[in-house]
Amino acid sequence: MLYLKDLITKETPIIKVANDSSVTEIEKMVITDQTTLHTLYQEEKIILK
Amino acid sequence: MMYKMNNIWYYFKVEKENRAYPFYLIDELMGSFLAKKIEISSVSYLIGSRKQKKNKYQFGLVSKNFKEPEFEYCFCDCYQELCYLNSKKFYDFENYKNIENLKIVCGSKEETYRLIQQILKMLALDLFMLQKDRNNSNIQFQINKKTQQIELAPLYDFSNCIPKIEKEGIYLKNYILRLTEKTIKELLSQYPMFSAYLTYLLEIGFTNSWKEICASYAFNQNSLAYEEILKYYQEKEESQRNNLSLYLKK
Repeated sequence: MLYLKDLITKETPIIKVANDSSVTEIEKMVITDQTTLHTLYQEEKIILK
Repeated sequence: MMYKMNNIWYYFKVEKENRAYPFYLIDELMGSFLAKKIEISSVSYLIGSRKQKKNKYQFGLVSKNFKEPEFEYCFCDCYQELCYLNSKKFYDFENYKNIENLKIVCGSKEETYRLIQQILKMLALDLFMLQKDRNNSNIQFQINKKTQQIELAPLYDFSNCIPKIEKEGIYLKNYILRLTEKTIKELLSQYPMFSAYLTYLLEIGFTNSWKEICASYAFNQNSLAYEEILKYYQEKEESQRNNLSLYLKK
């Protein structure tokens, strides 16, 4: 069961993210494992959440 | 998945089928909401959408990167390493003195008090939410680069909450202090504020919080999804009131 799509109304504020041509996506990263995430964090390239 | 938009990093948590934790994104909203109620810093969420093929959209939660330039950040294992260096013993996850030992990383009594209160709030919230996985990656400290004062970084991740206490008893992973029957009793006897935070969360409850969340996000309250989530939180609230009040009375 996915809940969000059923809860959203026209008044719900929604931010559009990547894969949507209406926003300027500068960079996109796909992180698949915790080690990569940790390494990137330590290099200060990204931070968790 | 991380995105950078207008030079700001965002984390986008896409909603997926999750049999173990079907309400995991709703629990994220609930955790963030209750954190604000007990005045502990937490990430905030917006609803996000991402366009897929054939005009289909994926929905999820978007949170802004909480990292501020005036702070340095470290994960919880930094604290455990310090404890080890000080005591030369293995870190005991079920020793309530792990809380008092936070003074090791603080420079003054005031700083220690503030940090301990933040940790107690986190533990009370995790116990109320029944968050099972407050692992090393889910606890960060932030250190002010100028003053070197340390505090808990904004809280995140409530996606592993269980609906009620399991038959085997309470066992909630936490990299500062694991929450078990033993440690909960010790926390309640040693820290009156822990009892106060837990009591306050029980007063706030899940049901009214869910209604407030729905109002703030303009969610559809005439949907089956709303009713199903409401039922989940009503049952969880009753279960938690029955179980946690037994600890609080002792």
